[in-house]
Amino acid sequence: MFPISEKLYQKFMELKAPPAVGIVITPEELRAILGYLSLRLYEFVRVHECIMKSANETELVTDRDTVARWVVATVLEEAGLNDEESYLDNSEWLWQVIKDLISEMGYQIETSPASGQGIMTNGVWHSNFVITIRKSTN
Amino acid sequence: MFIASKETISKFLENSLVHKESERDKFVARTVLGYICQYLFEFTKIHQTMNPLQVPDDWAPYTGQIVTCREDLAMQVILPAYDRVMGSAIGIVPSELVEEHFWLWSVISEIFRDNKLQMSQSEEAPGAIIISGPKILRLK
Repeated sequence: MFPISEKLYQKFMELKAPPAVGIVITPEELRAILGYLSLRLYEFVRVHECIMKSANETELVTDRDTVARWVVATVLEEAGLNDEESYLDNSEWLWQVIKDLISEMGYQIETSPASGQGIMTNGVWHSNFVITIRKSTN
Repeated sequence: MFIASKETISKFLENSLVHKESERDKFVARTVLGYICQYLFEFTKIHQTMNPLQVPDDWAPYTGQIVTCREDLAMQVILPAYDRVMGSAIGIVPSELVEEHFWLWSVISEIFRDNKLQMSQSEEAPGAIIISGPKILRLK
C-alpha cells in the first residue's frame, strides 16, 4: 500500500477539476478518487516492474491512452463515477496529480507533450503523450 | 510482489490467450502476465492470512500449506487479470480455463517456483492444488 503525503492530498483537494466541467463532486468522492488512484497507479507500476526485472529493463514506456484505460477507468468505476468519464478524461490537472503520485512512490517520471507522431520503444508503438517511468536512484 | 523469470515470460507470451499479431498485442500479453503475478501474490497472501483462522479446533493443525483448486485460481486470479487488461468482453470460458489450457497451469506453477514456492496438483483429486514452501508460514 502506498501512503499519500499530506502535501499531495492538500494539493489534490485544491486542484480538483475545472469548474467548467459542471459536475459536482463531494470532498468524500474526491478523497475516494485520490485513494483509488494511488492504489491502482501503484499496482500498475509494480505489475510492470515484476516483468521488467527479468527482462533487465530499467524503464516503463507507456502513454496516456494506456494509463487512462488501465488505471483511470478502473478508478472511476471503483469510486462510483462510471457516468462521469468526462470528469477525468484527459484533464491536465489529473495528469499533474498522476505525475506527483508517481514521484512520491519513488519513481522518476518524464512526460513528453503531444507531438502528433508518437514513438516506437522496444518494438511497441506509443501514441501521443508518452510517459516514461523509471525507479528513482535517490 | 511475485516476479516472473525470463522462461516463464517466454512461455506465457508464446501461448497467451491474447492475439499476438502486433508488438502492441505482446505488450498487452505481458501486462496480463504482470497482473497474474500480482493477483497470485495477493491470493497467496490472503490465504496465508485466512487459513489458520478457518481451521476449527477439532481439525488437524495448520500445516503451512494452502489447499485450493483450479476453479478458485481461475476465478480469483486468471480471469480478473485478463479482465483487468482487456475488459469484460474477452470471451474466455471459465470451464475451459479449468479443464483445458494445460500450458497456463504450467505457467502458474512456474510463477510459484520463480518465487520459491511449490505448487503441486493432486492425482487423487483432479483440480486440487497445494501451495507450499518456505514463505508459507503459520501465523501466530
